[in-house]
Amino acid sequence: MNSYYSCLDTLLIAPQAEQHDLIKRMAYNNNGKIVFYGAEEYFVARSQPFILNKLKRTPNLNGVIFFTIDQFCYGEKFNTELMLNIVKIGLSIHFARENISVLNLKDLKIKYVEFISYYHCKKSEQNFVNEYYFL
Amino acid sequence: MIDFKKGYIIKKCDNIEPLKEIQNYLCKLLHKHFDFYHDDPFTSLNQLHKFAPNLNATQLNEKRVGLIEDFNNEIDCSEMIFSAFETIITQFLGPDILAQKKSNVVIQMPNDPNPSEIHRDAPSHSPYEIVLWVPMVDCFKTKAMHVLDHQKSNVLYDFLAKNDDWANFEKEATAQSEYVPVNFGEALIFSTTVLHGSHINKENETRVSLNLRYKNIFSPSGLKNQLQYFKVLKTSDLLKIGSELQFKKIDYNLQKNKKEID
Repeated sequence: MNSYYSCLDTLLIAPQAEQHDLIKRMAYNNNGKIVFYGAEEYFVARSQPFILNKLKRTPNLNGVIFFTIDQFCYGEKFNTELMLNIVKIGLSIHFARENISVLNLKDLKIKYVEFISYYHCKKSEQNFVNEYYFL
Repeated sequence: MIDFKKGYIIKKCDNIEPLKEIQNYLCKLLHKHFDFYHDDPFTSLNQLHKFAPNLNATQLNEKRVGLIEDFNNEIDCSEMIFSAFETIITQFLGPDILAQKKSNVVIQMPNDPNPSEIHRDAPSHSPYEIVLWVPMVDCFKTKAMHVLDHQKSNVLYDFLAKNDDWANFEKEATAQSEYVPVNFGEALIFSTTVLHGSHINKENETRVSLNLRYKNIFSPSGLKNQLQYFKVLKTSDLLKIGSELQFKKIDYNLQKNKKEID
């Protein structure tokens, strides 16, 4: 049985119970369970400065499950650095809402293009929506 | 350059084989879910209402849902449709393409009182996506889709924005729309910005069609979550080279920063 750290999205307007449910299901689908819960402090959630150290301090983890990949998209650029740092300490990364897993560094290299395209397209869409609908 | 001023075109496939394979697979599923057998795929599809009579709306819907689930679990429809229409899709979107993960299968029996009301897919979908509507049988008159071109769709949406009058908008849109006959082996390719829908199928044949969406990997997404809705279908060597360099640069900077801290 794998052990996962659960990291909720502080910035999302969604009941945390819903986030927990999806994350728990993701853990179950990856043959594991949640052993620890956490979330970034609201005012710094865009850069996620705490999670890496929390993961390093928590023993016997196999991976971390974020509610959504959007947690890596709130800043000025896609937070590749954090992803790299997590896989480099030997943990897998999972995104519950998108049902996507990054198992290791090799896997991250493969999926990287999909992630940066998501970030780019999402930002473009936000600009488009802001310009078009909220004049 | 594709002439796409109307916002939709009908295009014949480059390769019919993947479409035949999908058609045969659909028939196999129809035989299983609707409990009948006929060796001719066109008869199985066109005459489905005769093979499965006396189903009420709930029963029909349950069968449709089961069929769509099996269909998407067992074949990679977006890849097959792409290989049937590769030239035109690549002309529209370039070599780096995302495809909808799950294909929609629509079964419209004669006189089914629930056709698809006139609507457009954007803005919940990206205005940079294309929709491929791919019939598994020949579609004509009321068995076909009806579409408004890009210009007419825009004029009507301007009317709706000014008057907030959905009833007249719908009435006018329906009056101005045109039936688009599409045969098996062809696709109706349309922009997510054009109005489209279907009327009650008054022909004596069932319509079975697929619809799915493709977009360029870097074009703005719609309100749907791109990673949930789409998958990467094709990437060019140029994109691979570019993203590899970007990734390496970030990794290099991380290692450099770590050394400086140590």
